[in-house]
Amino acid sequence: MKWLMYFCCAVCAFFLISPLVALLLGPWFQVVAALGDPVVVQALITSLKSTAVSLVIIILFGLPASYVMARYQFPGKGFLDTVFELPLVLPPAVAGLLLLITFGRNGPLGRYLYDLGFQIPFTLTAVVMAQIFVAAPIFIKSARNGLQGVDRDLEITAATLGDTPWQTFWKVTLPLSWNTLLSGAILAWARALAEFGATIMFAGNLPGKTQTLPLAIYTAMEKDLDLSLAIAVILVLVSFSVLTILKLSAGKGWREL
Amino acid sequence: MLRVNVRKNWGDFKLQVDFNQQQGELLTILGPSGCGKSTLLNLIAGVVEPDGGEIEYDGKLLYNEYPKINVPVYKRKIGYIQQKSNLFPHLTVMQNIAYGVKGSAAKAEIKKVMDVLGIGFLADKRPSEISGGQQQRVSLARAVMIKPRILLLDEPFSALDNFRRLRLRETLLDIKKKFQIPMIFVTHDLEEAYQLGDRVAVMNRGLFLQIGSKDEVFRQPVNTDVARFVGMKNILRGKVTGLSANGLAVQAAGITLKTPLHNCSCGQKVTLGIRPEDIMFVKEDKVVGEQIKDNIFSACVIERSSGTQNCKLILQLIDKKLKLEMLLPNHVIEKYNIDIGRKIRVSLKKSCIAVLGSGNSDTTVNEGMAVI
Repeated sequence: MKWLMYFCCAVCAFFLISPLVALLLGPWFQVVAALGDPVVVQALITSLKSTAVSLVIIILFGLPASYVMARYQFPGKGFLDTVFELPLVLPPAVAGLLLLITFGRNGPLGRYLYDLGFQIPFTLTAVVMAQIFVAAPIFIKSARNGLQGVDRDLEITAATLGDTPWQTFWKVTLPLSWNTLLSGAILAWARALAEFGATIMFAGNLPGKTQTLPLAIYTAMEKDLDLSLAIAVILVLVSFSVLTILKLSAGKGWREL
Repeated sequence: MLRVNVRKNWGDFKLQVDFNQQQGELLTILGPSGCGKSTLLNLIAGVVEPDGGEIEYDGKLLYNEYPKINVPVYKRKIGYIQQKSNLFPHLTVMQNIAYGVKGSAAKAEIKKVMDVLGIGFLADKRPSEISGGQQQRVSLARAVMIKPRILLLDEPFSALDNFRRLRLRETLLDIKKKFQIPMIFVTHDLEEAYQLGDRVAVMNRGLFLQIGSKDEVFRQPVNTDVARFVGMKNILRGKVTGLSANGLAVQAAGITLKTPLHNCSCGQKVTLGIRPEDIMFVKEDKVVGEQIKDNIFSACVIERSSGTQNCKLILQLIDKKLKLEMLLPNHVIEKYNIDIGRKIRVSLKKSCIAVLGSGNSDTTVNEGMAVI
């Protein structure tokens, strides 16, 4: 029985690692050369720019949102809970389609934005919105768990020692939930970086404008496999470093970082 | 001076308390779990908002129903210690103690507080590296450092072992003396309430049943509920049969007892309370002095259970249906070889009998022992 378990484990590991090995065995020279390709550079810039903006917005609105979910009781909380989790199970293509019909020229919100002169679909804003839509729930879920894990009595104690609610948050709540918040933010960022389906539906695939790295892989694959491999290498490296940072920072406090 | 008069309802539970605390006084609140002690502290600290009433400290309102005033927790300067030490796990002991202090001028003060509490050597440790008793000392130091108007303590020592609990009680009295901080100490432990309190309040079901000096509360409970809480195990219901300048004669459970004077009339029903440790053992051959000769009875030991220092006996009065609980030091038990079946003489000293008032309101009193 034990050996059967080991065998299944080995099959899983083999399946997951073999593509990476294939990538390493690939035509390295051409891959390195392709890194200088303007399409790749542009896609990299688009990706970094859009994910950075997405992450900032996600934290700015997601942190208070998760605080509300972690601390307060109110009618409709269960419903809100589902709303925040829905994008996690929604296929990205569906998410992109929904964003398009909402913010498109004839959409219920897009109509008014068009009148005001804002055109969202097929812009960098759309890329960011698609990323936020799929990645924010990951951060909110994680941050909520982290904040819920902070003992209420510690916050009360801080208040009796003279801390305003704002000081309490910075001096007690944030440091004690730091690990979970950080890992939530990194996972959300990684998800935003990997975003493909919703982006292509809502923002299109315009090189230099809305073409992110995953979209560039898709486009390049049709004419130049080496180019798409080069982009893949970039993404694999990024994913690896993200995981490594996560593992290293886990268990380390706010101050050691 | 603290003046508290607050109401709070939670479904069926109603809390209504009204009391004053003098400057520098340690008030202990004694009551069973769920009686509303912790809620009362939460109301005073400002963690929970009352439904009505007012809380005033030195003429300044901390809470008022109308016009509405509710000073937030962080502006009240009221220290709050719970059973859990609530130290910040991401800070060192030193950082915890300095937490509520603004500026760095407090170095000397911090050192003084740490010395009084005997925790100077822990400064650089993390809360997880020190013992429960030490954690509670750090928690006390941290609260003392903010120079609180009042220190609220919610069963702060009940999670500690006996040895540390006793030591910390001493330390607390030391703090009170050195820093002159008024304290409200909540506990369900009789000994603790008695040892620490300048005054004692007995609380049950959201109400103060009695508040007064500890001798008043422990010697002269106002009713049977209080009598039970303060350890009067023997509660007797009887009728006043005689009245004189020296006291009452009360007939209860087939015996007549001489009791101290109380405001009541002949024929009235009264309830009496006697602490087990106040019942005296009288040697067979002893010539009984004036002081105790009034209430001497012969009884048979029907149960015996030993503790580390004292032995609890259940007595059956000879030819009467009255049972009494008494407490004797182990050395007396050994010396006179007192065991089950043994016939002994006991004295219910007159001055130690509490007349709990007319028995009309006490519907639940059984004859003889209330609780065994």
